[in-house]
Amino acid sequence: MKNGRDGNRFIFIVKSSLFRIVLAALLLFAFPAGARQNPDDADSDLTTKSLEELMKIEVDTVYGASRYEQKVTRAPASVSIVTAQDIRHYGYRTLADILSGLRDFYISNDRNYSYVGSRGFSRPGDYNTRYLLMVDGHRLNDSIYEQAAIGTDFPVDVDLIERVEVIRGPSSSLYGTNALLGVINVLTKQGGQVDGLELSGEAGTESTFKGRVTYGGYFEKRKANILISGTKHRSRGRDELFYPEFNSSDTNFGIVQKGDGDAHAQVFLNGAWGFLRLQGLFASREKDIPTAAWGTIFNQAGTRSVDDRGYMDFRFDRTCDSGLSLLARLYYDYYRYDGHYAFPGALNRDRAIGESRGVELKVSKVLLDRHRLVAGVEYTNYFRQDQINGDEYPHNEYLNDQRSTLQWAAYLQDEIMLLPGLILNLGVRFDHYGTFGDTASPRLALIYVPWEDTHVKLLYGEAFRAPSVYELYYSDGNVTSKANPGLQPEKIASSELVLEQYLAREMKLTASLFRNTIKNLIALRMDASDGLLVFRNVDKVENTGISMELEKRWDNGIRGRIAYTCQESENRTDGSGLAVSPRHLVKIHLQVPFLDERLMLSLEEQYVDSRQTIHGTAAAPYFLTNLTLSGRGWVPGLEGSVSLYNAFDERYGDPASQEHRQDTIEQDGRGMRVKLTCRF
Amino acid sequence: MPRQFAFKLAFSLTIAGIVLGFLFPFDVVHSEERAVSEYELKAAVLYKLLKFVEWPEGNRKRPYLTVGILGDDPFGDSLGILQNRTVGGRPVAVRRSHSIHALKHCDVLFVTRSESERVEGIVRTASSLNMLTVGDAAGFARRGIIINFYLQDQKLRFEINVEAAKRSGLSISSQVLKLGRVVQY
Repeated sequence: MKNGRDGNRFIFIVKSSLFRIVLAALLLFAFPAGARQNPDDADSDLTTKSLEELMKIEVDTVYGASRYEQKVTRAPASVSIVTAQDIRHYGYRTLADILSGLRDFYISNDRNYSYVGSRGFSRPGDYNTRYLLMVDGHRLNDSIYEQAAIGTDFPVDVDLIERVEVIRGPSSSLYGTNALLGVINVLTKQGGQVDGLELSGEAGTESTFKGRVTYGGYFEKRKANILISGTKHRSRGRDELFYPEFNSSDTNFGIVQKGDGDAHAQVFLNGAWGFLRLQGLFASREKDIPTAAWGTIFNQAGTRSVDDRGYMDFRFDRTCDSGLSLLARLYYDYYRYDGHYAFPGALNRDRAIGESRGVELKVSKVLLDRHRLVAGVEYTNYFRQDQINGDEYPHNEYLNDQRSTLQWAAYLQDEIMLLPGLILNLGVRFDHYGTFGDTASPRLALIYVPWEDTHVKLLYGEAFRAPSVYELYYSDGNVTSKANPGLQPEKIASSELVLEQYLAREMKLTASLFRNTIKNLIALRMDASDGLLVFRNVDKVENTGISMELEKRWDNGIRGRIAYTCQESENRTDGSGLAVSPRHLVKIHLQVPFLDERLMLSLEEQYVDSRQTIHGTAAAPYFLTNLTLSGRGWVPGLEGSVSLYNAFDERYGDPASQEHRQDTIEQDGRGMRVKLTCRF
Repeated sequence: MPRQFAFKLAFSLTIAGIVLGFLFPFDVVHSEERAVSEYELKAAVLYKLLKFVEWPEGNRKRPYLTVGILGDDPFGDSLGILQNRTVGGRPVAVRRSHSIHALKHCDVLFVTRSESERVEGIVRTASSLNMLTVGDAAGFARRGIIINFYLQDQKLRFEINVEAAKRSGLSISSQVLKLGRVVQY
């Protein structure tokens, strides 16, 4: 720690100047440039035109539709939306890329999986179990580890995403387990939106290649929408990685060669016919683990993880003449994990298979003109939850645990229009689990719209996360770890005050104050009596903070967005600070169109403050700059983009979890990607 | 501790911002723009369309042609375009409400997205009152709304449900039918 003091001072200077820059930018944003225009002039222009002429005018739809979409403004939460257009313009490659650009969110990666944190809360080694991930309302968290796959293991190609809705805060009152810190709902494209055959190819640094074939169409006569898509991706990864912790003669002086490959394949089907809809997907990903995690042999090929995910979701969705809307859903989920670990003297395989099927019924109706009621029941049979662990050579079995669980839930939500402009949203959900019993999650929200451009939301919610089968029953035959079937769910209580203000037609301010208390957090601890690792309900975390976001669109088509989050977190059990909890986060986005929007230059800046590692050291703060130049409309049916990720080659590392000897895992330097898509 | 100071400052600024934003609403400032906003255009097209619609005798005797906005008004100031205008000799008036009963004397009913869940009921009431229903959400025409706006390649288009117009006792000029997409249900 020779340079500790200087380092701290430097960080402080960076931080305070950063803070000033953010404030200055916020103030600048707040004073709209440009003269006022007499609205009558524009109006008379329009009415003098004929209907035919009016139908030739292009409109600006950036806010038009989304601004008043009931879902966002009336949602009893702070919601962010990322559209297909954003994904294309910013060159996002994975769901993790999408999330890392959002206010309050930050991502880390250990060259195996990607991990999401938000508002200063993330747990090293947590497989995103405190976030509910859904595709078109279908739960994607698996039934063994409850992992939300957001990296290359996310089973839907980002090109097929129509929009991503990120709902902050607890939502268990509607969705049940995992909806503790947020809900990420990915909505996919319909066949009619693709309308034909689409081929897409991309190539990037580290020998990364991806190809996609999609066919989509809408058949007017039969009222049928069909989309079929397949994706294949392969990346060799970094040719050489250096880990100073392993810098000795018997571990190749800390250098890993060719141990970072990533390959995945995905198929996706989305069909709708009248009121019926069938969706299915299957994806498999294989990732080499180069970090010698869990004490595997350094710089030896063979340590890798394979994740397979698939589901079928069949639904009937209709709104009847009486205004009653009905959703019935039948679903089947499949998940398989196959981990290969090359240990000295043995090849260990850690496997898990989860299968489940279930049904959901949901009705919504408006009563007495002022109540919007939503009620539903859900039943899931997790009929297969197997965990198997053993050595291949020599053969040895440590764990063969086979389980099945039943779970059912009922929920009710009422949105009451108390007065014009004052909405009360009440919701509660009751969950029953075969493992630990019952739990109830309430939510209360008051939404006040004093005038059309102002939304104030006062929110309170409680949510839970059921212990996963992995946390309940995993052990390696009591060699280093043991099971704890008595685990209880984690609970969160969260309060938030949100202001959404449209300052001018082209500008929006969002500000939010939040406070979370998370109890009964499940953490891996060592049992002093036998020295074995075991999951226990131990920690209690409190965090408080603010976040602000300002969006603006200028007259010449330039769009910008700046977001700032500041928070403080504390582990109340021992008063210590929290690992991987950046105090400040800044996100800046800027889009500049050229040549009638046929060229678009998009800039993304991310600042993540220093984060404490689990060993108490600090991962340095970093600035990331991503640039994408995209073009369309030059040749009919063809579009392309060139992206530069981490343009200034910033060296930074993400805090590592317990299974690593490394304190931080170094992240990728400058990278590039070229992408071309054509439609027939 | 400067760090805590920064935190506290930011914290108090946000509270102040929220309180101020609450007390003093910012003026809606129209920045100079060449592009036409979606709802300005919708308001203009709606005004043009009214000239091609014929209401039954009873409606025509009313002193005003009243346009009702049912639900969360997406137009903002854009409806100013209808001020001091006349259609078929009648001056145009605009009313807004969340209840259809408050709008039962309207000739035109603009059904906003917020009413999406109860469109069928609204359509029944509106057709018995000889109203021209207008909407701007996907699927509204199929559900009985007479004229439904949609966007295609950033240009404004509309669908017309001819059957629904007949049920409301309205006749729509064939000139308009040619410009829109006719929906049969």
